[in-house]
Amino acid sequence: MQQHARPAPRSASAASNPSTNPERTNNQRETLPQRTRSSVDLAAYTGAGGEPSRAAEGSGAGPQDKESTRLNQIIQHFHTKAALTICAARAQLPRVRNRDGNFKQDRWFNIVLDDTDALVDELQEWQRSDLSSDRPAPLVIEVYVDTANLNQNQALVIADESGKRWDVADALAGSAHSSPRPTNKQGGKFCEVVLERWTVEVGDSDEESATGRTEQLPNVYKKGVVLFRSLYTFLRFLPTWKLYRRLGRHPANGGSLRVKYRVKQGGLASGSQDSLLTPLYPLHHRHSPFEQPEDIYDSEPDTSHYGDDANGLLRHRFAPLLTPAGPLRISLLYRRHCDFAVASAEALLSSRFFGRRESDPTTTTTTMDRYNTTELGGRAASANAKGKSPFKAGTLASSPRPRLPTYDQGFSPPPSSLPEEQRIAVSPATFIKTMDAQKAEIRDIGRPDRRASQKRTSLNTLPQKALRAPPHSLPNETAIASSTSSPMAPPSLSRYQSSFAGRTKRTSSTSQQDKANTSGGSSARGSASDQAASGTRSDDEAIQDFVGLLESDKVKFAKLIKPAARHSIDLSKFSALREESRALADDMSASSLLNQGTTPPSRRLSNVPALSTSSSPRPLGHATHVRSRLSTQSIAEEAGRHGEESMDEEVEGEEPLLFRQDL
Amino acid sequence: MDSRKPPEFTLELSADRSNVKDVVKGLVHTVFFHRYFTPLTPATHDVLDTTLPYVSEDDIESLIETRATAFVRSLDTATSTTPHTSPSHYNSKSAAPSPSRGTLSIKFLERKRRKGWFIAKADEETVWETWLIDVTLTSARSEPEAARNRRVMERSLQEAAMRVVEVVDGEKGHIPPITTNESNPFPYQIVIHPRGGG
Repeated sequence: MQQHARPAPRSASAASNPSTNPERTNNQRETLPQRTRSSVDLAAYTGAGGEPSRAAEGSGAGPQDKESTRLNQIIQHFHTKAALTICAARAQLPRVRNRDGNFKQDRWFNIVLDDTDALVDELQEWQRSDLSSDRPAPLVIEVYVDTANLNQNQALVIADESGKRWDVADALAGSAHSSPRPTNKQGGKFCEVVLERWTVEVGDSDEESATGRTEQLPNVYKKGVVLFRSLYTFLRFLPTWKLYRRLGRHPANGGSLRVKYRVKQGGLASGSQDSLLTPLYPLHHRHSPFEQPEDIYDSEPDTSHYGDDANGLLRHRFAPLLTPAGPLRISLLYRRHCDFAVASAEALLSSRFFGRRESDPTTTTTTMDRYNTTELGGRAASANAKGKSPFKAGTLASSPRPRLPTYDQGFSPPPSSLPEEQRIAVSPATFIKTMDAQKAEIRDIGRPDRRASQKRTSLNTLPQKALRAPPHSLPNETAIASSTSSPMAPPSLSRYQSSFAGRTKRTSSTSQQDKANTSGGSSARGSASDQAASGTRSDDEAIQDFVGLLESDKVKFAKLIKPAARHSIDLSKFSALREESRALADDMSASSLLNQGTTPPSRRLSNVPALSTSSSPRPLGHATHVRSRLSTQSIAEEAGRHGEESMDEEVEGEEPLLFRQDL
Repeated sequence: MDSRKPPEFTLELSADRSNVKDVVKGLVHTVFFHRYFTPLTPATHDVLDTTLPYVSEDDIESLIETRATAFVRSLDTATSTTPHTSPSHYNSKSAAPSPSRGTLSIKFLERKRRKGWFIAKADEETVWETWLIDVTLTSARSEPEAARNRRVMERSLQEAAMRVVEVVDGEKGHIPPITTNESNPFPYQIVIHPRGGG
């Protein structure tokens, strides 16, 4: 087919653009830096409507040529738009400007995303002009968590459904595909764990896709619109999204943990080390004694690799987009659980020397509860469904003992069976040092910060102290729990006092602030925190008492005095306190029923200061509330700013116009 | 013209009073996000710790906002009229207020131009898809119950949103052809079907 014919289709369209616009398909390579948005005017497709695509090939018949060009473009943009949509939801992609000085946008399939030049090189294979006849390799995008920035003293850990932490590097090393673990630049253990593997491809034509042969291109495009919208949505339901946002919220950590992506061609052997396929913790720990909720992801367990769901992988397939060139498919293999964190290697080690028996049951519970407030693997619902939600303050008073055995199994086999003698070997001083060091490091990592920022000002010091307390056997667990939750402190603290006290106050104050835009969120929190602070002072004092008791225990621990009695005293004392607080909380919540639709703090905090609050009872400024901080914020801004420009540009015909202009 | 009824998809939500409006709005936006065929700059909105897509087009936004408000009001009205007005029906055994329920439906229509011979063209609008959102308003008398309701609410939102994605992905054949790119090709309606409490 003669490529010179390219400009012709556009001139035939209703909205013609006299300027030549380098098509991606047309010897793109030298003009790549100047990539503008897709320039095809698909309106001409519908003009054809029932225009037959002749079986005659090679005769260069006009319509035939047009049709195959357009088909080719659809295939190209299917791949590139999918890559852009996926990568934009997993990384901050740099924007580019076009010659007008505006940000370039990709409008294909009627979803407008900021374009980027970050993928240009990787995507060359899928921008050929003969994709419809010469099927390209599958486009594979891997999203992984990268530990290049961890230092020697840090290790990557993952929490399972019940909050137990597992050392990831160990799991990877112990897998069948182990090789000597390289170290990264800073001497830390290098490991990368693949979280998702997306495959975008032109599939084999089979019976099911045979109907695609007669599919009209406008129809294909129409269905593509729906497909890309659902891809966009689904990307934000996945566990990796939650991890990405959580890590993205605290870039100041030095980015010790980062979510990254890579683009590659599929069909090549992935090598001996496929970290996606490696389970990070043993199967039997995945099924907690608590209710195991069903998956909501409409994905099927991946049985192709281990024969059962043991590896915690799920596979999701979007419905194929049928075209004359074959079915266009997007599928995904992903980890269900992505609750990663960074732990101090020291703490990890020392935790192995200590069984769980000496642990303070209260603390144990705390840790596990805290994980359940966190989005474990993105399945917040599942965590809560387990009956350990922070709202169930009652669990603290009731016997936490039954939970210990499960928790006990925590890390891999070695720890639980260590003899007591070894425990004696470590002195309290070491503990404290370990804890402090660990806390200092982990404080930066940032766990889901739902209610934290407002409470942080008032309660920040407290949590450090309070949660530092439970030291003994689980310096790793609890310390991590405490310190990582230092941004996260409020939930555990509130567990001590009352689930509702602080939250309610915050709610009422913030609702008044709700009129303000997203930036107002911080001011709302400021005032809220004051309220919260004052209201919880008495509770804070109670905690300090409690902490004091714990600390004294810690000192005595080295002599292996089981502080069982003391624990029960602590519990009863603090459960009494909790009762008071609960009464207070009930009063507060009763009085704050004005909060129509105001988000509870856990929602409001959705992690990013500028992130939209989820509700505004008032219509004012609603649009601005809504912009989420990450990839879409810039897009939304651009939309606002370039609303008019985009209209102009549409007229220029520079973007894929889906359908015929109305007569 | 085939006589098949246009498909109806049902979503179920459970929500407590303070979140019901957000939850309903979030889900309605999710549906619209997959049915607004005009080029759209996507936005998102977090509801109950779930990131949901959001349609930031003025007319859709304001319609959803007003309908959600009216819907919640209708739920409130339904709840408040139950136990107190008719003591004779008030069964002492069921001291708990029975959960109020309501249904919201979203309809997408297509416009078919009819060329009249002598009269002005009247566009015929036919429904090609209906979404029914059944909302159960929960109330709690104790903290554990409130906690349980909240979990149920979060989970119901996630499941409903996921179901929207499933449905739109699996059912594409019934979408009518689109003939214009200028404005939204499919008119829409949001209808409130109030029901009594319990």
